[in-house]
Amino acid sequence: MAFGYQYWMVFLPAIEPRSFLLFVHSPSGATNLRNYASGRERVVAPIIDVFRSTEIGKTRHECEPHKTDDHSFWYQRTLEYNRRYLSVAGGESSPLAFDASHASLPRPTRIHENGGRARRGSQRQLQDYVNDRPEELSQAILDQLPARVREWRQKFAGFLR
Amino acid sequence: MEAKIRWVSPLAGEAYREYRDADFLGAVGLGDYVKELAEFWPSMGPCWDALGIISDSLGRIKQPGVILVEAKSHIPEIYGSGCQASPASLVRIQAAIDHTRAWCDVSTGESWLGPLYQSGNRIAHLYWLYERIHTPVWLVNLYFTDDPIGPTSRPEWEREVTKVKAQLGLNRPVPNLIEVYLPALAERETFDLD
Repeated sequence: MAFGYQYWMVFLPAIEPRSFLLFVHSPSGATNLRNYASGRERVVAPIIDVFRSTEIGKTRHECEPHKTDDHSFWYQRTLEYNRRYLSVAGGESSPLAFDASHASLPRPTRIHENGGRARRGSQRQLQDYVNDRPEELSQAILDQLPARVREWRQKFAGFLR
Repeated sequence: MEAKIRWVSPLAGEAYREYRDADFLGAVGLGDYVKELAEFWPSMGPCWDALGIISDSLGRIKQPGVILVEAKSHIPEIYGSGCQASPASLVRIQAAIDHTRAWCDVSTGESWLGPLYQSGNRIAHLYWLYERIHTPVWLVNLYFTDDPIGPTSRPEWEREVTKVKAQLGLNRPVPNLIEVYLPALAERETFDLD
């Protein structure tokens, strides 16, 4: 445990649809995902951007630092988060059940919880532009393209019907 | 002949799905190249924030172009934790990055596998589409100005973009890579979906 490390419990159904994982983020940017759901540590390569793929308070929860080789400790924490956020009670799905129901390994595409709707940030902005203001988005891009589009038309002139 | 973009993701009617790997190729009509992409880049490649198909308004071009969008709302979003691929995948990624850097005439700068890995892997896919399978393609780095999540003005974005390019060793424009700046839309809560 070095200074500046952040410890998070994260739910990433694309990687593990049945359990929270421990995500340790170091100041240098090096990261590891660890799965303790079986009672033993299993290190998983994140590949995806964990911070961007999770949401604080919902699919990402900060934890007190603790040594990662204490499997029993992290196993209990994992069970605690799974019970709290992933359990199905009274026949109603947990808030995260949407993600879990769509998960398979590997999952080729990304869908956010909340019916796919991002709450804020760049993904939300882009969702709004694509669906509510597609012409503005297209025009902003096309305004940057004229010269390139001309090149494209010349290059692919032979494909014109 | 006027160009027109048809957006294929993230669409509300498809739960705002974002595509990667074979699904990404299928979404933009390049499903025949799944094998070639898998040879170039391992699975779990970039998940595209938005995808569009550009063609002339009369639909007379048989080979439409592809618009790849990577969007940012605040500066820290540019930087990530670097490539976390397995050793086996890393070999393929490093080879792809090496080809891409050569295509971009990059001989200096930081590793593309570090904090700017996300920028590097997007450019690598631009290279693959443009140079390897000869598809008309544009990579759009889209920067939202003054998003409440981390308000950033256009001049601030432009300064950071210049810095990023220098860090990547990009001393000349990358073919078909463009920057677009758009004002962030007013924040609305999603009560209807909660």
